Amino acid sequence: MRLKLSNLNIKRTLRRSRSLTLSLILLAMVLFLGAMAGFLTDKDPLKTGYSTGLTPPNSDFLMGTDQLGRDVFSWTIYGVRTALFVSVTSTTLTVATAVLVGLFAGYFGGKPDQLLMRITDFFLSIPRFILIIFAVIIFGPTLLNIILILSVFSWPSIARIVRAEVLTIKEREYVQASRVIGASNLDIMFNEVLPNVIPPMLVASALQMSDAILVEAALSFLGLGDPNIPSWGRMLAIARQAIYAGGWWTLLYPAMFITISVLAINLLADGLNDVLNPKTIR
Amino acid sequence: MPGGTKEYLLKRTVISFLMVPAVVIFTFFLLRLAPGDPAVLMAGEGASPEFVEMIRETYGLNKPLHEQLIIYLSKLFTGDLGYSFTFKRAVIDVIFERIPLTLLLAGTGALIAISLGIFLGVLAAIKKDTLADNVISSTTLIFYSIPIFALAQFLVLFFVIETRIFPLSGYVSLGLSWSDGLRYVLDVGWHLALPAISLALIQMATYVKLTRTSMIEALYSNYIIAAKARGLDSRKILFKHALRNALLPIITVAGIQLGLIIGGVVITETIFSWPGVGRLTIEAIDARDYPLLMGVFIFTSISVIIANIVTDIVYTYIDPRVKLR
Repeated sequence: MRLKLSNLNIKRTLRRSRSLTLSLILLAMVLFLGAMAGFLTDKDPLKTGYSTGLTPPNSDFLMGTDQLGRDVFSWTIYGVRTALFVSVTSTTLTVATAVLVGLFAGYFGGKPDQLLMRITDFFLSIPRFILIIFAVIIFGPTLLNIILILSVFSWPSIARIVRAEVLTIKEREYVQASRVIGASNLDIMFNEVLPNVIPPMLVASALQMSDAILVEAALSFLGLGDPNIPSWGRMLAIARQAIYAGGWWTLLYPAMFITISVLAINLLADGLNDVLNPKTIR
Repeated sequence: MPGGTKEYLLKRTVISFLMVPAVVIFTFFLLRLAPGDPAVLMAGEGASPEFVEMIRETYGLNKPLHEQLIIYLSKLFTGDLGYSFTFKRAVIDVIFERIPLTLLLAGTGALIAISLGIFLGVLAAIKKDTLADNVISSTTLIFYSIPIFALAQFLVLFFVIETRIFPLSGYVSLGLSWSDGLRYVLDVGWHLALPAISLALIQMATYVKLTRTSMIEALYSNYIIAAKARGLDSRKILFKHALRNALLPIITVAGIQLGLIIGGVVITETIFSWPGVGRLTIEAIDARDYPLLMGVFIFTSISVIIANIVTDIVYTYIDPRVKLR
């Protein structure tokens, strides 16, 4: 019953899921630009005054400059690092918390389970984005705060998915079999139940990652991002004035990068779903 | 309606309404985490010392925390959400004034998204695995991945700056009022178009995907095959039998979407200067008007809670198969 990654034939898997192939190509492209940012440009993304005013793309400024003379190319490719850092760290925190809480609540039931359900009910009752805005204003817009706030307000809904999975898995025969031969609760939880929660969690993690990129960018767009870090959202806020002066490049390139990244991760979620869930209707 | 449904709905409704005080208490403690004197936060920076003292007195901010909470809760239950120092008016009045425009925008956006989404979803399901299906599925996936603050700006670039088809911002041209009748309505519609389309496009993918999946599932199910075998008209099968079942999950999702789309509304209203509750949120943030921000937060939470209850009820009534716990 356990998922073994070694059992998956990579070639066959990729042929089966076009989404997965496309997603990996797009992700590789974006990651390459982000990783190589230091080699691809010698310009500091945050530095103003590389040019006087809006400059259209040319050989010196591949994506032009904004009204304060910042290099859009440098901003955009360094922006890959910001987006990925925020999404990977916050997703790791979110999913780790969600799996632990969901596993314990689902497995043991009773009071802790009730408590989890009420907490998730609570978080499902409030508009998350407004809550995040509120929290960022109160604690201050630093990168660390944004990551923590994102995680704190995202884990409950994923924990609920874990819990639901655990509830069905713990009644299966192979779990009962290991209980009969005397396995401890912790043994069963981590060796029998957890591995089977992983496939749906992979899909949820991918969706959480794209969500984190969008939320960070939205905060930066509203002026609530970390001002010391180049974020696609902030360049898109700069574009609000620039497009009226003809500076379409300040809008197009960061928008392209954020869309491609989010699309790639959404396709990854789709692809994982195809591969891990043979019953998916396509 | 099967027995026990009423009890189930009542239980869900009670739990949901208990979330309202939970939200308020949560907001109360969140504000206490903010650095600085809460009385100054509530009165606004630059407020006179007399006003700060008055706020401290009214909210009992010099009393122990639990007494403060009781004062705060009792004020809320009488509809007193506090005083907005930027608008120099009661928070509740400021919010209520903005509600109709937000409802108009979000409602139009949702309506376009749902109707277009169902239409394209059905089309994709009938033409499964053809070019049309692929085009619909991939286009909607791209719209699903574009953040609304980029999409809306592209619309501004093409339809406002380049072609001047639609107006820049606001909800009505200067000088028009209700007394202008049809001209007023058309003008509001003209201003509404771009923000509503932005909101619709980013939500649409969810409806397309959902309709497509459930339509395909329905079209291959036994009761549809049986209907075909009985020789029923295929159009009738499609719309009367398959679509009807495929629509059920849409209702649940539409309810959930309301909570998710609030962030999109805030951003859309900001970009198009649409003076609704979303734009008000940003105004409150920019002025650090905490009473107003807390008011907006509590108000939107209550809206989401009510939407969840309505979704539950509607769903239970139209789907007789809903399992009760």
